[in-house]
Amino acid sequence: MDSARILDSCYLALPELGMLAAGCLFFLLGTMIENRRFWAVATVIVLGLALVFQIAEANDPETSGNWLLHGAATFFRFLGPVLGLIGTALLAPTGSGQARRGPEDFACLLVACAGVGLTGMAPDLVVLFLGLELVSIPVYLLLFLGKHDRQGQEAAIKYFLLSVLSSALFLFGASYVYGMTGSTRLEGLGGIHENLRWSETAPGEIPAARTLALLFLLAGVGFKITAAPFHFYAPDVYQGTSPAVAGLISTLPKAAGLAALLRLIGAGESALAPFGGVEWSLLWILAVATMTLGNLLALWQNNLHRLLAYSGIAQGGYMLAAVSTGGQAGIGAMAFYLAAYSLMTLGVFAVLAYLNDPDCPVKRVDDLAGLFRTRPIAALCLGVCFVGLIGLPLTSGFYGKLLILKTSIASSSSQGNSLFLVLAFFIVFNAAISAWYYLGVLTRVFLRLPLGPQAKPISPLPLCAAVACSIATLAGGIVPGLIEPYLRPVEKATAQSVAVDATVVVTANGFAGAIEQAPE
Amino acid sequence: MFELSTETLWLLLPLIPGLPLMAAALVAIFGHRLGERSHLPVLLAVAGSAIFGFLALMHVRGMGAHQAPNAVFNYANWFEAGNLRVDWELRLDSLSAMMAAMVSFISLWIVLFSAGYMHGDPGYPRYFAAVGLFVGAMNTLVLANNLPLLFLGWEGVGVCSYLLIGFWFAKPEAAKAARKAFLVTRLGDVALLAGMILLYRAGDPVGLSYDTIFSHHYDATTLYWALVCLGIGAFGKSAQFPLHVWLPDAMEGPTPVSALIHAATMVTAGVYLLARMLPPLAGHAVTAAQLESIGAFQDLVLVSGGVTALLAALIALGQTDLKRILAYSTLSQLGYMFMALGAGTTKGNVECHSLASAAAAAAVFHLFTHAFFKALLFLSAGSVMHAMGNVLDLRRIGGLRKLLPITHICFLVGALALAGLPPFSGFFSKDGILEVLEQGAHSGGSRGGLQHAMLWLGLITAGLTGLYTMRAYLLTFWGKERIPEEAGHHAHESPAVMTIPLAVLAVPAAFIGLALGPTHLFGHFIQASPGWHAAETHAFAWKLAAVGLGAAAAGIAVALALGDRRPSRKPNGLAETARSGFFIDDVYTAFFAKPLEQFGRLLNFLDRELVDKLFELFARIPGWLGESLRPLQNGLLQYYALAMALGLVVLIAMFTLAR
Repeated sequence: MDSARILDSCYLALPELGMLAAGCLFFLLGTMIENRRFWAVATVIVLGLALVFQIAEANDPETSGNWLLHGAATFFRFLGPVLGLIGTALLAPTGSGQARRGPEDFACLLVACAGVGLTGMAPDLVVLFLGLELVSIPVYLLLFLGKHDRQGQEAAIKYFLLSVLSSALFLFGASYVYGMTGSTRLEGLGGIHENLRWSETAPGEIPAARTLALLFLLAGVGFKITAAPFHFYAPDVYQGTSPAVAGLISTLPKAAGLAALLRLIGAGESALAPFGGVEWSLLWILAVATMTLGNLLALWQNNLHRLLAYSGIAQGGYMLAAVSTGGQAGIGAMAFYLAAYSLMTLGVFAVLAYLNDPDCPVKRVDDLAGLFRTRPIAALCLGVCFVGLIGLPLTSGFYGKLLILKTSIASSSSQGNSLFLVLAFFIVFNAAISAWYYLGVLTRVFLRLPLGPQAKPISPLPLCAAVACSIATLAGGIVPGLIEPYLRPVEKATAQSVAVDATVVVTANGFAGAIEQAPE
Repeated sequence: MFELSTETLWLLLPLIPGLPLMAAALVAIFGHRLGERSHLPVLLAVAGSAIFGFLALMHVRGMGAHQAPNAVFNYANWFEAGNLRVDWELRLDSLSAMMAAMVSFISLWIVLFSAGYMHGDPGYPRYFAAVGLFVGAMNTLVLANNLPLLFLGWEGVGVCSYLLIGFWFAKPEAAKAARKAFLVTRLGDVALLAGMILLYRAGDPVGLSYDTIFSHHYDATTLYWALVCLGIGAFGKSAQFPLHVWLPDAMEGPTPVSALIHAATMVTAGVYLLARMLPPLAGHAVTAAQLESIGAFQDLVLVSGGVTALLAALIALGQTDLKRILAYSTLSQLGYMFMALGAGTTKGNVECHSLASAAAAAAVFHLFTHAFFKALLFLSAGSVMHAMGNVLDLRRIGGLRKLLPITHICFLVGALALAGLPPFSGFFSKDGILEVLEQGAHSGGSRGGLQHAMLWLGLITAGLTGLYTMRAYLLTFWGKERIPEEAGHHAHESPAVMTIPLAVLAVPAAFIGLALGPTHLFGHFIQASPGWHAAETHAFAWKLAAVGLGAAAAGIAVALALGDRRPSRKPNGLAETARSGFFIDDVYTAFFAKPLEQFGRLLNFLDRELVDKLFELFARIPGWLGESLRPLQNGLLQYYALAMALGLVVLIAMFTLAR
């Protein structure tokens, strides 16, 4: 660990560090200013500044040569604040089951967003771990602060303990890497791959210790991605918390986990990564198991949060599948799908947050019956997002799935491995299964009559976020050509930044409108 | 001479189909507000079409007989697929101008008549929207300059016939008749499509415009099969044997619709298509094999037309319903037109072209005169029906000449024209057909014998036509006055809105044949179409005309001799056979409809019991799997931690121990 490099990194990670610092400031000043609206606006300002800085940095020719800022890193550094902006809209309404005064909520959000960015650009196993923990710890807090009932506390403690377990597994794997190579630097591990203790076995043979290290590291990362068999917590945790927090848990940790995965197995610079280009079969198994298990279990869910948890597990499986194809195109597809999934899922949770009325809770799928008659805009947003999650045309979900299928079929022909064709089959098969439960929700929303009294929304802010997510979902499906060319060469940092710009513009516009219309 | 500038034509031509289509859209959208005024937009639009059609006709006429008056107006690209390019292009020549003007003119009076006939019907706006669409589609069909655009109009006509025959869809017979008409003509449409595909595949440069088709040398086999496919399409639309079964049932729709279908818009499409294709193709055929192909196809047309003509005339004899008699007479007359289209020779290129052109001109001339007198007859029948409370059974009505004087006179004019008595128009056009058949029979070549036989068949049919037509006339208007109880006590002549169209149509039905036939005006005009052989003036064939007239007169004489003897109600073998249309419907039912229905039932059973069950089984599997996995998710924290650890162990085992 050399301190000069860390200082360099500090300079390069200015937006993330800024968000972290702002988060700390929020915690401190939260005791003085209790106005929730003030803190929401402050959060928006911080996130907006971070985004502006990112754009400036991505377009700066001086820093664009630095590999830390390349491709996938830039993508995650943008994704964090964008999701944060939508999350702010979800968290902002007061009196909706969250704590009365809550700069803490926003502080947690800022820290988690910073964590996603740091994970995406981590140069070192230690920084990677730090980034992942910066996502995990705020989530503990959000879970704990969010709901004080029994279920909420159960969710918080479950998440805390299992997350700590997964962190321990990750650190155990990291210790193997250090023990065998004498270094924790990700960038160096690939380079010294050949001549260190790492590969003392015969050339071409993969040492068992390396596989062991990777498996332990993956256990830690897989927990964040909710990959099977590390997914068990998700339904219970989602069920126990508010829609806003559930929306954040379903997106931010998943983004961080995938960022870490790319760092470990090679995010567009596989020659520099310690596990570059070999472990596709492991990811293949994880992907198939995750998507199939998630979809099968989702079939029987009545509770909306549980259903969305399983849906999130299954969708994570698709992204793992994209990564497992091992090429640049696969990573581009994963990035597109992650952005699409995050916006769609946040859109659904935004509608649930909008309808979140303590007197008239929306918990079961049947509670959404007849929503189209009572709240058509919310119902349409729900419709767009669910249609996207199914993967029907004209949505970004369709285009993302198409990209993943294309890469897996291309990999099967370029690598001559028919297992990728099987993977494509599994994706299609799972998409078909998933249509069952997604459409089950939509039939209730659009075709049934309302069953009981309808929720009275407190604030239109989450609805505005949902509209923004829906527009982004449709834009990604109707004009993917705007974004897709930039995802193909993920290693080109500037191109990447433009890709994310499009998403940012769409969501930021929706958000600006939302803030203006906020009552209070 | 009358002439229009190209710009004027460019603007005016699309309005001929466009105006009725726009009116149809207007009525379809605002019909509920227009109510009983719904006929006005359609009436005005069709009147506009008729005027523009007439202007276009005068323009073509003004350009002179020997100057090729082909103007093609290309408006925009319709679609492109691969190397096939299809444009919105309209064609103005003698044939298309004549057809457009005739269709619009006759439709105009039918629309006016309908305004009175349909009075008080709850579906009034729906009726006129469909009629507007019908006329627009037919005009598209005749003005199109390529086969796909013709096909668009062709299908539009089919849809409209379905809508209008089944206009009173609550009546089971009407719904059934509409379905039958649609399915049978669809059968022909598929063949037409196949013919287009054949032409497209063989064509080079690729195109389905008439000019590219006519200028291409197809090899003999392709030419034959393409023509056969187009011919089957024409047989279906023009109700020729064996696809004739839909037309008699088509009278389940409102009577003006029958007039529209039988006279102007629907059944003429098949005759038009063959008249459009055959003369230029014959003119372009060079090799003996190509001539043989065309000749073989013409034989097919000849036989189909001849069989239809005779069969329909025989069936008409056995009918007791006035409208059914008229329906079968249409079949029979269309048979004449197809016989004319089949006339030709394979002896030489020039002879073939010349005779095919003359034959097509004769067919189109009969189509033209037939349109007037058949529209007149159907509208008159509609007028009778209006007065008689929807009863047209000749056993129950009779002696109506005093009660319905105008209708009586108009029907008489139509009947004499149909029977083929001079100076009424049907005589001249029918004579023209017999003439080309005689020319074909005497022109030598291998096809003479068949045409000779068909000439005799045509003469016999002429006699039968005189018989059944006069009989229908006499039984309706002469003898003891019989009024069915459905008519009530207020049986009366129809209002002016209905009698005026009758009177207007009666004039051309009576005299247009005389005016255009012996003077060769029509023949010269039509045969000036590009690609046709110019008409040769020859002396009026007195001998043949006399024989034809004799046959018709004999039929009429028999009818007069029979007088007021009504058809008995007792079934008798021969009459029953004729009445049932020689059991052709029953044959179709027994050999096609029933087996297909049983096959459909079998498929339905297999689909429900086997395929559906199988897929339901597949669909259940994910559910079962999900159900069996649910215990994994038991909510216990320590169990979750254990499962994570165990999962990791399994993965480690898989990836390290396995090596």
